[in-house]
Amino acid sequence: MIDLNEIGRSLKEKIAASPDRQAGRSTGRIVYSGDGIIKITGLSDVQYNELLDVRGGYRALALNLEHDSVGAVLFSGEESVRFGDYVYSTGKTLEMKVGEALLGRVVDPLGEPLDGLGEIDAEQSRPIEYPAPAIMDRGKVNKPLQTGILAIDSMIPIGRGQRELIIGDRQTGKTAIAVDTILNQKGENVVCIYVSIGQKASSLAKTVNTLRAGGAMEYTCVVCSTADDAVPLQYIAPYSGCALAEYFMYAGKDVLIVYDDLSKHAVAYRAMSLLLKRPAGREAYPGDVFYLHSRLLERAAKLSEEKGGGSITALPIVETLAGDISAYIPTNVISITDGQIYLESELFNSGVRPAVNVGLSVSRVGGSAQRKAIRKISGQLRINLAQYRELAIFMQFGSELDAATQKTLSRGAKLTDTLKQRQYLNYSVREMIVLLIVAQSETIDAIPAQKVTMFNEGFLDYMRMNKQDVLAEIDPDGEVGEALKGRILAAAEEYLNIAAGGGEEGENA
Amino acid sequence: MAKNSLSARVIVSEKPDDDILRMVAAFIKERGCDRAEYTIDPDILGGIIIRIGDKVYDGSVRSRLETVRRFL
Repeated sequence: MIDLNEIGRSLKEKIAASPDRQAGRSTGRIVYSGDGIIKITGLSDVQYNELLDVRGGYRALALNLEHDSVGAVLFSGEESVRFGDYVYSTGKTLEMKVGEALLGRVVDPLGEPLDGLGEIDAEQSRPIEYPAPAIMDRGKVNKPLQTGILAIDSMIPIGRGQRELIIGDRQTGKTAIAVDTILNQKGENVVCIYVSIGQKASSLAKTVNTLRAGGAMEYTCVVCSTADDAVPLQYIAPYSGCALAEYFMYAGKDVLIVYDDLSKHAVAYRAMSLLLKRPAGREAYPGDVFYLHSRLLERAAKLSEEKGGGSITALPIVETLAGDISAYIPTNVISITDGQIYLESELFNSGVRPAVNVGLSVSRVGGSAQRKAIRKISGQLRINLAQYRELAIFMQFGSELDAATQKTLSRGAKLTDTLKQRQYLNYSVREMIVLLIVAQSETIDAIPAQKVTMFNEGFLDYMRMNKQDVLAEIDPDGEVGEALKGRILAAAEEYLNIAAGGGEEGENA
Repeated sequence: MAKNSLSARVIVSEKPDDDILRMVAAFIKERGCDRAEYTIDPDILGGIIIRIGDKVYDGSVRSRLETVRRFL
């Protein structure tokens, strides 16, 4: 049964929350409308970024305040707005609904539900534009955010409160890394927010389904604007997501926010700016396109203990064209963030997945947040890989090689293989330590080339089933002693023998 | 009152009585305005709309119904 009283009550609440027309608001009239942009005369006391109420119940955002008119962008109702229609000021800026009620939901950038799961009962809202935490309110990034991806957690560690850019061409697995990271936060007490900006609705649906199937929606909110949404909605989406993230950060929680992706965001802002007739600069982006992203990413921070110790870790994604990281938007965002994970299509196509280019990827602050044991073990990893690559290039000339060089080469190839990892197959810190110890030991020489990835997956299964005690003994914050190392390597050899016995199956798998 | 003081435009649905005239005069005086031009427009269905410069005080029944319609 539908409860009529309930309907009446909710209607009353909504009317009370809608702008009060008796309050004497300043008004103006539309003198131009086109491409979602309206120009309004009047509106004497309008503010920058103020929400406007257009006759017919449509909303617009005031962006250009000029001496004889106000330029604004419409969120909807482009076709219905007519010349001469009244526009009312509201005295408010845009706000996003915030609260625990948004977890598990898919919402638009204004906090309205899109998943058909009913109303969102959020008691609070926050302005979508909000100043970044002050210098004195910030703390040191000292806790790791585990992505569960070996190549990243060992060599490009990310700390809670860090901003790490994921950059690469299309189809190189950028979103996959972000999604894997969200999935890996299960049980880690991290709130995740996935902001989709101008994405295809089909890929977004796929992402949401993956998160749901992985049980990650419990602690995740998806803020989405798809490619067919009005440009202003795409423009505000990351700020809305950030407002939600800030709610949790100021409540003392750790938050992970993914902006997928900022190149589309810049394109949306460029479209808006050009239509508003703002001067165009490099690549036709407006002059404030750097500020567009810097003010967004500065809001990601680690708060000091006095301020509750919450954090926002931001993983912005930027898509490059033909690997060109020196284009305008990529260089901007690289300089704003604390490091980047650079993905290459060449690596991706040759089967190195995740296709992380270790040479060009860095993390400027995550190192101090890395777990001690992992830091110790992976210290040499980057150098070893660099040496291997240098030799590998040299080897292409076909000169004869001595035994030592051949060994370095085969070790390097196996190390590279160790860093390959299937999607959705996240490793725990202890498992990473085990893999890194084996990969940097003599034991790895016994594993046939091309079989390393298979060995790793099988070996970890074997450890989980038969060597729980060894895994449990590893202290991620301490040091891995020689005795423990010996036991890990002994287990690896044990498994090698078993695998060699049933080798036929292994080869066909 | 300043020479160029604004005149208020008042829209009502039917001919106003003396009480309303007095209340409107007091209301607009508070906002620096001493003249009122009345228009009768049955379309607003009831209530009153007062316009001073670009400020609008919209207490019409029509505007309230519009608000309700938006949520139905």
